[in-house]
Amino acid sequence: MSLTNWQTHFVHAVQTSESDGHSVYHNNFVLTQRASLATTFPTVLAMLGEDTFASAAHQYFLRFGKESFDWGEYGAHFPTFLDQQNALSDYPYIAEVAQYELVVHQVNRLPNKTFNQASVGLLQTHPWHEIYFDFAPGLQLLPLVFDAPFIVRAHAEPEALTEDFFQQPALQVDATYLIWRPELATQIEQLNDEYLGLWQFVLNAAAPNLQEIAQFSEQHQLDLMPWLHHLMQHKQLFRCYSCAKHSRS
Amino acid sequence: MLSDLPTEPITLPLVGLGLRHPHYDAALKAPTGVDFVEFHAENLYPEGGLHQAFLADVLATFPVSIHGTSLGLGSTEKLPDVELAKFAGVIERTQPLLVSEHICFNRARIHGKLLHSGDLYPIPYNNESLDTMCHAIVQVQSKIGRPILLENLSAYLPNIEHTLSESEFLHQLVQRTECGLLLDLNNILVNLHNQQARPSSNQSLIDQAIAWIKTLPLHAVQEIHLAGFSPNKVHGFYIDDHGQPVSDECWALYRHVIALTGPVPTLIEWDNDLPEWEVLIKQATLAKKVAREGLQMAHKSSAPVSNQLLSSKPCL
Repeated sequence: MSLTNWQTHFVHAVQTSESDGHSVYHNNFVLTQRASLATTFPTVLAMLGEDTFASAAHQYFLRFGKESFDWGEYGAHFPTFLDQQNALSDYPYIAEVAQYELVVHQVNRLPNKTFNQASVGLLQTHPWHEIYFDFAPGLQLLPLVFDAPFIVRAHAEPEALTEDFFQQPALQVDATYLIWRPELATQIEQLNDEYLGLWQFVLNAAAPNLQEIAQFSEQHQLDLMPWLHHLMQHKQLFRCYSCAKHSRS
Repeated sequence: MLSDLPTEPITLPLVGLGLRHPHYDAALKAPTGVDFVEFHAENLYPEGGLHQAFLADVLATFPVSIHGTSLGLGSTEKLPDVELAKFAGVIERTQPLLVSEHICFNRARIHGKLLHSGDLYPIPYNNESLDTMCHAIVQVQSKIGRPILLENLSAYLPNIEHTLSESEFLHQLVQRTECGLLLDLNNILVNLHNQQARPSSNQSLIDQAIAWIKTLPLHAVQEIHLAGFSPNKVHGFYIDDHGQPVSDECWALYRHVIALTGPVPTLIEWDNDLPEWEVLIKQATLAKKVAREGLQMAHKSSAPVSNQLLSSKPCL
């Protein structure tokens, strides 16, 4: 048997606990996989409880396997998987809680950027069509039906939990959130409808250009300067830069 | 018993501790009693946020060693460039004292999908494994610009067919790649316990371990790992669970081995059911004490060190 075939057989034998020895590796995998998911999705674990979570984790592995080398990158499909589980219909918000926890986990791991407040001075010195924006690490929109950020926060601070905490109507928000990492930890804010279109326009652009943003704002009768001030104040915008050729890092 | 030993100074090994997330604050608040800390490379893959902020604090406080757990250098499936780049990035950012990985494989293609086990699977010791490992080791060493140390495994499949002995395999690995070795004493003991196996042998377990270790290319051993293992068997095997204090057996073996290798850096591994940081510091202190005993005994006479030490009682 070639070494490749031997290794393939070994991995398959671990999955099926072919022998006592393979079972040792199988058990270790099950425990590590569950612990890895629990690290990324602590609120999902708290809500489902150990047994249901363990069952979900096992089913998840059977469906998706594990392809990432780093356990820290494992679980990218877990929210989608949870969303498709009929057995979890008592937890209609569970997939969105998982999605939110996944995004926070991923944004927390992104490379740092340098915040340059002084670069906003370019707005006074350069024509706006030459000015581009570089946003905070991980800045993105997250549309949610349920108030997953509140659920996660409440689980971290159990004193906030009340008997009617999980009443669906109260948790249903149909809102879009802005997520970004200004410094060490990820932040979130709920967007008001007024500026949602502007954010969608900006984040859909390959390289957000101030002139184009200003034109969009004007067309939609939005006040641009308070928006820009908010961006800098909350470190959503990390720097402005001016160049004919640009790249988004 | 030690009062009649030579008085010239003994060089003691650096003793390190595995630094895991729950101990980050405690380690930085009380950075004494440990010479270096070890990170699993993968825990440092995130390039920003709290991870890097913490790492900067640690690097300003401790020398570090980097221990890879995911490269699976014995895998016949190619090591992806992106994974090697992440590993190299950690080495670049931390400039560690030591870099190590394992003699293992961890991935295979099942139904067309490349699956990664996240674990350390044993390899058969044969020429094909040797070629595979050597190729990957050279690839890693070339990328990071320095030699790495390879750690011996605990393994739970007694019936793997080998055409080389583990010792022959390690000799050739060292010779062909100029890598070093990380000798995990707990893994050796776990394997011997699981083999139990040598009912015909009159030697004690420690004697067997020493006899085996003496067959290795000891000049290449540049780090030692110490750990304990649970007394409870799982599926008939003792497991190298890194969830216990260093066992008495492991201390006894360490006393012998440090005399054979000289004062190479030594790490206490405790990854699960973590105790307070202070408990780990006490383990590190004990490692220094045991190392001193072993090195002093070696110093005392030119007689074979292990013969002397085998007759001495553990002093724990």
